[in-house]
Amino acid sequence: MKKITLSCFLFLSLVSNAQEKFTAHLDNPNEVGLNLVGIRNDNFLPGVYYERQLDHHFSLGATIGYSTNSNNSNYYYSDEDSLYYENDYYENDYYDNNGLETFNFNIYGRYYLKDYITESFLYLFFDHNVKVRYFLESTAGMAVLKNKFTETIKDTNNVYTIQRTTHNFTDATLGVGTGLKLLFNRKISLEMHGGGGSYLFNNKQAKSYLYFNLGLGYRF
Amino acid sequence: MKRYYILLLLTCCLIACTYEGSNFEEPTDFSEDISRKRNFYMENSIELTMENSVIEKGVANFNVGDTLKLSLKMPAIFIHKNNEFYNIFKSTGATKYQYSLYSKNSLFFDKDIIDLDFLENNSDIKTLSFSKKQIKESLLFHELYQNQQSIVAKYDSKSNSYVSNIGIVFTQPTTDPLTTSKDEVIVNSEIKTSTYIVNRERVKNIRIYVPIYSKLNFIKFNIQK
Repeated sequence: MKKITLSCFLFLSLVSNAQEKFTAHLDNPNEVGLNLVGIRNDNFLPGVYYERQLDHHFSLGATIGYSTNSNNSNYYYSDEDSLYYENDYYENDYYDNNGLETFNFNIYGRYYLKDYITESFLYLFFDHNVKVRYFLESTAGMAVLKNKFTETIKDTNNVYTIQRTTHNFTDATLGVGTGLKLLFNRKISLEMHGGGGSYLFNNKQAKSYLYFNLGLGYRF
Repeated sequence: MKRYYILLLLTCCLIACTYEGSNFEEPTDFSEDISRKRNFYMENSIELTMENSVIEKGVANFNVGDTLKLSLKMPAIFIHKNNEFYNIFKSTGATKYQYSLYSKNSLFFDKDIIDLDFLENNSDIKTLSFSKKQIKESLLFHELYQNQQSIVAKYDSKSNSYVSNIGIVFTQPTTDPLTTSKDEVIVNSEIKTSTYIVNRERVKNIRIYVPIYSKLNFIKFNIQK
C-alpha cells in the first residue's frame, strides 16, 4: 500500500511538472532586435524592431526599416551585343516601376496562437531549449517611396523632351501576415514573418506589396 | 481528350500568329498616360538611301571591288505625327543610334561593311583588302568595319542629327547566282534594314525607336568580274 501511494505521488508530481506553463515571454515581456532581412517587393530594408508582450496571446511592436540602396530603380541595360532588338525580352516598360521604398515605420499587433512548444524536429537538435510559437499579425505604417515617372517637357521652341523624373512621396500602409518565433534559452529570439499589404493613397505606383522579415532579438 | 488537344493546338497557332505580327509597334500616342513608359515609337520613317549607283530596270551595276554607298540621316529634332517635335538627343542622351542590315544571301557579310566617314578621316588607309587576321587584331579596323547587326549612326552636333554613311565592298559572289557567265553574275539579293533605328544604350533610361524606310528591297545587283 505504501509503495502504491509513493508511486501515485511520483506520477502526480510528474504530471504537474508537465503541465507547468512556459512563461518566458511573460517573464521577459520586452524584446528588441535587428531585422536582418527586410524585404518589401523588390526593396531591401533591414532595420530594428521593438515588441512588448501584453498578455499570453497579444503583443504590440514597432519596426523601422531603411534602405541604403538608393539606386535600384535606375535600371540600366546595355544590349550592345544583342542581335535582334525587336525581340528584346528585356524591353519591358514596366520593369522599374514598382516604386523604390527607402524608409518605413510600422506598428504591428500580434496574436500568438496556443503556447510555446518544442517542435519534434527542433527537439532532435536542441532538446527542450528551443521553443516555437506561431502568430498572426496586422501592420499599419508609413513608407517613404521614390519613383521615376516619364513626362514630356516643352521648351520655348515648342520642342518636346521626354524625360524620367524622380518623385519622392510618403504613403500610409496596411498589411497582414503570419510568422513564427523561435525562442532560444528564454532570452534570444529568432522570428520569421511575411505577408502582404497595400499602399493606401498613391496611385502612380504598385498599390500592393509583399513582405518578408527575418529578425534576431533579445528579450528582457 | 482529342477536343482539348485540338483546342490547345489552335490556341498555340493564335499565339504564334500574334507574336509574328508584334514586330512593328504602333506609334506612341503621347496624349495618353506615358508615366510608366520608357519605350517610344515614332511615326514618321527615315530613309536609307543608295548614293552612287545607277539602277536600270531594278538592277544596279557594280564591279567586284566596288563599294555600294548607303546613307542614313536622322534629325535629332524629330517630327512625330507631323505636328509634334521631339528632341531625340536631349531625351535619350544617346551619341549613337543603331540599326541592322540583312541580306538574303552572302552578297555582303560582317566585315564587308565599312564606315565611310571613318575612312575619310583616316587617309592612311589606302586599301580595303585586309586579311581576317589583320582585321581581328587591329583596333583601327575595328572602327573601320561595322557589324551588320549593329551599324552605328553617330550624333553630329553641327547638323544636330544622327548620321550613318556606310559602304558595302563587293567581293566575288559565290551563292545564289541567277545567271552565271565568265564576266558577270547577277545576284538576286534583297538588302533589308531592321524595322527601327534605336538608341540601344539607355543613358537617360528612355529609348526611342524610329522606323526605317528602305528603297533597297528587291534590287538585283549585277556584279562584273
